[in-house]
Formats: sequence, C-alpha cells, structure tokens
Amino acid sequence: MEYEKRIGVTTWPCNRGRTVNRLMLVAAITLVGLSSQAQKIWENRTGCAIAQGDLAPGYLFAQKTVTAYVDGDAAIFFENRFAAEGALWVSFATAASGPTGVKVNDAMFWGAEYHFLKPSRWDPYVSLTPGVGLVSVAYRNGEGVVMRTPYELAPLGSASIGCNYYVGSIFHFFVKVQGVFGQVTSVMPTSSRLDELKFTGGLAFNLRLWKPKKDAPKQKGW
Amino acid sequence: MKSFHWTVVFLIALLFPIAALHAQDSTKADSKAKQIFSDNFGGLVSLGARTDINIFTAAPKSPGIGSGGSLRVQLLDRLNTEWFGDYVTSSLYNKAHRVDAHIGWNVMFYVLDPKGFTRKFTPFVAAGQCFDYTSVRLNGENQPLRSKATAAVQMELGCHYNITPRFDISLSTLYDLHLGKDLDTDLNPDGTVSVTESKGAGWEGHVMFILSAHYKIFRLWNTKKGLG
Repeated sequence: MEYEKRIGVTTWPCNRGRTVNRLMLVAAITLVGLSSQAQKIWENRTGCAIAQGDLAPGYLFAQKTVTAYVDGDAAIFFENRFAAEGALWVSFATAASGPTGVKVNDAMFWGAEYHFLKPSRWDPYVSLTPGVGLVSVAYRNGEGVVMRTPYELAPLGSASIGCNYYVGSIFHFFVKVQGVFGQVTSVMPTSSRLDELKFTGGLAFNLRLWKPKKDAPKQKGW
Repeated sequence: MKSFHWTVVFLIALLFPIAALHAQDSTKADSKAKQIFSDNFGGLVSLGARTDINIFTAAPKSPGIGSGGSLRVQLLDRLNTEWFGDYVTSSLYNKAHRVDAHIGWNVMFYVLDPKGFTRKFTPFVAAGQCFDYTSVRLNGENQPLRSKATAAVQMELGCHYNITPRFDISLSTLYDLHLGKDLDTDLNPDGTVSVTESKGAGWEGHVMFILSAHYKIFRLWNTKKGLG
C-alpha cells in the first residue's frame, strides 16, 4: 500500500477488483448489444453471402474421442430462405486415446440450407450437406505393428441445424451442430465408422454479392 | 433361375413404356418437341447434392454409403431429366472393401401435375442408364485390386417435397441392373472372403435409397419466362 501511495496508484482489494471487472464486462457486453440493436440488418437475403472460419470440436462416436478442426464455411443466398452451402474441415487433433484409430479426418461438404424465418435478427436453419472425407487411420497389422493407411476418400452424409443472430449488416453470431455419418475402408482389417457430431459457433461475416431484381418476371403461383 | 425370371420381368416392365412411346404417331411427336419450348417450366436447370445408401446383390448385407451431386434439366411441365454422379464405398463382410464411382442419367415423369412445383408433394417415376466403375480389394496390405466397368439400366420411384417452388428435397428408391464383367465377392464357410472374376458377362442388382436437395438455378431456354 505504501508503495502504491508513493507512485500514486490505487489498486482495489482483490475481491472488490474482480467484482468491478465483472461489472465492467457486463456493461461492455450490454453496450455492444444495445448499439448492435440499432444497426441495420439485411431486409432481403437474396444475393448475400456469409462466410466464417473458426476452430471447432467434434465427437467421433466409434472411437469415443473428441476431435478438433479448423473449419471454414461459406453460403450464398439465392432466395430469402434458401442458401447453397460449402464447408471445409481440416482436422488437427483427433485425440485418439491409443495409437490406433482415425488420425486424419479432413472433409469437404456441399449442399443446401433452408432458413425458417423471413429476414430478422434471429435466423434458425437446417441444412442437408453430403460430402467426402479425406481420411487416414492407424491400425495394427497381423504382427501387432501399428501402421497407417494411405489417405482414402470416404463418402459422407450429413445434416445440420443452426441459428444465426444478425447484429448488423456486416457480421453475425452463429451456432451450428452437424451430424455426420460415413465409413472409411482401406487396407486395415476392418472398416472404421466416421459417425460424428461437429459443433461450430462464433462470428461470421456477411457480404452482398448482388442486388436482387425487383421486377423479375414470375411464374404463375411462384 | 428365379433371378433370371425376375430379370426378364424387369426388362419387360422397363421396355413397355418405351414401346408405348413408339406407338404414338409422328404428328404427336412433333408437337411434343415443340412443347419443349412452349411449356412454362421447360428449360429449368436445378443443381443438387445427394447422399445415398447402396445395397448390391453381390453382398446384400454390406450396404455402402455414397455421396454426390446431380443436375436436372426440365423438358416439359411434367417431364424432367436428371444427370448424376456418385462415389460409394462399402465394407464387404468387414473382410474386403468395395469402391464404386458411377455416373448416369434419368428421365423423370411426374405422376401428378406438379403445378409449377407449387404442389408440395410431387411423386415421379424415372428410368435411365448408368455407368459404373467398381473396384474390390481384400482388406490387408498388398492385396490385389479387382475391378470392372459396367453399364446399367435403372428404374426409380420417388417424390419431391417442394419447400418452395424453386427448392425441393427428394427421397427416392432406384434399382440398377448392372451388366458387365462378373466380379463376385463370396463369404466362405470358414469366415474368409474370396473375390472371383468370371469370364463372360454377368449382371448385378443394385438398390439405392437417395436423399437429395435441389435448387432451380437458371433457365437454359425460355429465359424470358423468368425463374420466379
């Protein structure tokens, strides 16, 4: 305390300081929230693209391990409620508990998203995205030696549910859960299942690629 | 022998609609051709993604998982075509593995008038052809790769669920009859698997359950009619 007085700095007692810090954090989040409410969001999603990249966890059911990925997603809205989606997942830790199991589980997905609500801040959606994995598995051969398979292509089926929250026209927050099923076959004695739940969430960016035509001719009933 | 009878029945069922089409007079055929450019929904092109479960009669207890894409080009209000490609892998009795790459096309006929795809459920029947490259290899290092290329005739029954007129989810069942080199995978009584190549042609049945999502992207012709 003496030293602090000498140099003219006042520090809070430890517990009190933490409380103040928490209050400041809550105030900052509230302010960001309030200011974002004032920002404009898209009134028409047609022609907009969204993109995000983040670190994402997964859970491989067959080997009961948590996996980790670098994930990049992009979607282009062709209608207010429809977007074409593409995603790239690169595994950097498959955290197998033993020396054997799926060691590389990269994947690419493509497909369609259906967004339930008209443009608003909340944007829940579902998607159907088949894909293909690039997989390598460690296994024990007949002599008990651990071997690695070459990289194999594995067809994957997947569906996901997610929700975006638009805080402005430039970016939004999102969460998504993706269920994946598939199997990899290679030189190892038995095939390996690739059934997995993948989780993503964070900040994504929005970009308008084109302005929707207002006076486009319409088919009867469309 | 029983399977041969089923094959004959299948082929007759497949050829019957073709014979019926030939029975139409040429004037009607001409007007059908013109209809391609006058029907409201002719020229629509849809792009889609699909995932499928595959059962091959050579190893019916070892279903394969496939993924791919397809393109639809609509000719008439009730007639569509589909061009597809799939990549399928199967684990055969957990002793061998099989990889199939196939491309093909179908002509789809809408059983009920889709009313410009404003009808929510649009059932269809389809028939077409498919070309398949198959490779089979026993599990384990340095096992030889056996492969075959086949052509297939196919029939499909399915239904679109039109979420919006431009966007649909489809569920269908397709039966392929692959004709080509005979490549059999047999589970022996001692639990081992053997892959045998026979001389001459053989056939193999292939059932696919397909889940797909398609979106109408643009018009190839009738462009002035717009997309909605």
